[in-house]
Amino acid sequence: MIARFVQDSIRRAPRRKALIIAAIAMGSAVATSMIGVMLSIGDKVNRELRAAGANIVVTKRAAGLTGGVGSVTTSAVGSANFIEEAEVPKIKSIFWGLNILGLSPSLLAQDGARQVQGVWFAHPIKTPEGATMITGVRAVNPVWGVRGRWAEDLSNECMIGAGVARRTGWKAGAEITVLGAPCKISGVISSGDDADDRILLPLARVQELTKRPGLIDRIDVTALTKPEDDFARKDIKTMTPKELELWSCTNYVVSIAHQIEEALPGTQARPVRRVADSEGKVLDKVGGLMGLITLAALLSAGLTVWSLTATTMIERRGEIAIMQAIGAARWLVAVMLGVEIALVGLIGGLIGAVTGVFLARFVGESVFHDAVEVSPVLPFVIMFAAMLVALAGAAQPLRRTLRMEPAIILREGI
Amino acid sequence: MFLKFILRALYYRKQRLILAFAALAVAATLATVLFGIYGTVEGRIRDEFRSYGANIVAMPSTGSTVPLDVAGAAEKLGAEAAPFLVTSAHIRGQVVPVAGFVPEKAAGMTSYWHVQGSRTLAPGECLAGELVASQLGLSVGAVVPVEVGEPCTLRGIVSTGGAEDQELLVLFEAAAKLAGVEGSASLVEIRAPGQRVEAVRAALASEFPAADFRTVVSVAGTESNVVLKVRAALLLLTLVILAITTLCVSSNFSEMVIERSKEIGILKALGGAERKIAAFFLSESAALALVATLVGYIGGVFAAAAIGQEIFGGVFHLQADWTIFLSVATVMLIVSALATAIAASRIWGIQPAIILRGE
Repeated sequence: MIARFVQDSIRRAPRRKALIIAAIAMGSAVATSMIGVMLSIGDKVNRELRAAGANIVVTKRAAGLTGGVGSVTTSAVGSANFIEEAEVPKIKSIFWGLNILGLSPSLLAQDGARQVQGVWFAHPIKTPEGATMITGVRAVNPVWGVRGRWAEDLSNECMIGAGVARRTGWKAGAEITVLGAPCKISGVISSGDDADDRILLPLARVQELTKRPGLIDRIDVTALTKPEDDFARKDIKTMTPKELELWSCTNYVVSIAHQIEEALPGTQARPVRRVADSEGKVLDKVGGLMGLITLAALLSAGLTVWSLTATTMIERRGEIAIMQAIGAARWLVAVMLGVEIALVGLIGGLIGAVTGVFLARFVGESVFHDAVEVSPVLPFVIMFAAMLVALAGAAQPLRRTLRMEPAIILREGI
Repeated sequence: MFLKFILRALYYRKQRLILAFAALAVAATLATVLFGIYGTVEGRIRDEFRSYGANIVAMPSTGSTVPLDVAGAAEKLGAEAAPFLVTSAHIRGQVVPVAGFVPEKAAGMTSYWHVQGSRTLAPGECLAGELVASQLGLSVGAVVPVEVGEPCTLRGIVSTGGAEDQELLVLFEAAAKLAGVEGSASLVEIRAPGQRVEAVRAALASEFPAADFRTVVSVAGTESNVVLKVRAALLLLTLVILAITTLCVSSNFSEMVIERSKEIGILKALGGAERKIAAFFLSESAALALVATLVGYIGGVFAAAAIGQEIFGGVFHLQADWTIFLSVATVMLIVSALATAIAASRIWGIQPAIILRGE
């Protein structure tokens, strides 16, 4: 009988029901797409922020002090400065290896007053999963401007910084002599940092020309990290084993740096604070902003659905009164209407959740050129939430109507 | 008579109207919050990017120094500027890079420095980079025996992951004395407002042809990229939310006309002209929409201020912006009028006799 009631009710006023279902669907679509975008925007913005360059720098622990800017450089070169190039892929095998988005090993050399740096431009390495990852200076610094084109790793090509180009008048396509060997300039880099005053050569070539086969002196690492909080800054020496485990299992920049040091003994991995800390600040703000907007959107979607079902209940007072007048028990009326509303809520929620998933994808595609992956659980949660909100909206007016004398409602004709 | 009809209609259908009103007011609040946040989000996120430090660097293009006047000129253009002077000193037989800086000027651009000890420097005091300190075995409070120059008291140990880790940081004047230069710096770091990086750079470059002004692309490029994307995401979400809430509001309004078919039947039976009846409904919706917008707007301004304070800190700043109010009111009025008009078109087709008979 309950089933027949629900069936009839929907069949007799399909337009009405369609309107309610549509409204519930819209509310659920807003909720799904907002939550979908909110949950993934942190990750998306984090990847965008990775364009700001390496956030971890690995050097040999005993390395001498090098420093200064541009031409004012003091450098102390000792044999203790070098890391084996063969060790580099080990960084991908740490616990957070998947979060390592780029690696750029390099070897600095001096050619007269000029700094020459051997780098991987786009070099394949094997990851522990057996896949090949193309990485190097280009992957770590995607925003660098290049006039001309990027150099190839296995060639006698080189690239020069914009500062070098300005001082020497060299242009892309020119042949120059670096470290006593000829090379062809493939492009001019403008970065605004140290690379502007350097000549970049393929790493293997610098190793050969400086007679340091298989050696590097620095690795720039770009990793996807979680903004640091108070826990991240805790001294690991004072942590309990449980805390230490939690700390290592969180992708804080400090814990990733710590794991790199363990993977490459004798090195020190230092977070680049300018990048790592600022990144955390921006991420916190964007995430918080999206969170609060989502909350506001959820509240309003909920209120809309709630007010809509409440309205329909008020309208159906007459119907309820008639049912009661011909002897239906209160619980039966409540169950019949409840089932109907729950069904309407579920259908609306389902349509809305599916639409919302597509809306979230659309936002992701058009803004970040990357689909927003919505967890498969979310649509179900939204569906049930829509049903619950619809029921909650109906509950109060229904209870009031059921408590009233049917005669009064019928006489008033409302 | 007209006014009386509307007021009575509002009075007799209190509960129904309160619900419609609530839905509308919520929509108006949400619209106000979204418009308000969308308008300020760019500036606020750009503020956060200040902690990335300089987005322009002035370097010597010939010789080894840039004039100190660059800093003053940059400040006149509305940018922050911090000169640095890099030289070297001998400490315990080691060559250590020494950087001179002006703490007050550099403070804004070096907020990411992790300093153990104190950040402030008085003459005769210095900070050491983490690596310098560990190589020379220095600790806070120790006297750094700078050969040739003056020894200094170590006030703090800096760790940044950048060049500072390998430097001894002293006051600008001390470094100038050590290097024997005057009125010039090795480089000037400039933080221009994010939107004007290229303009500031170009203006400085034409004023000081002898220096090389470089845009730090990793900072400037990432900033504009992220700001644009966050803003675009917010805009799309705002449009989605607004489209959906207006659809809800409009269905609510259509509903309000449809459910009153009986009333329309009576009015028509009494001889009411269709146009007049439609006008009743339209003005009723307009009144409702206006009041709801007003309430929603006030709520929205408070909510936006609360969100702003919660996320970006600072004072609770109520920002009444008439353009936002007008746009929200316009959207609400158009939506309610359109929805009512579409539903009211049924008035012409209603046969009083059939409706009143109860079919």
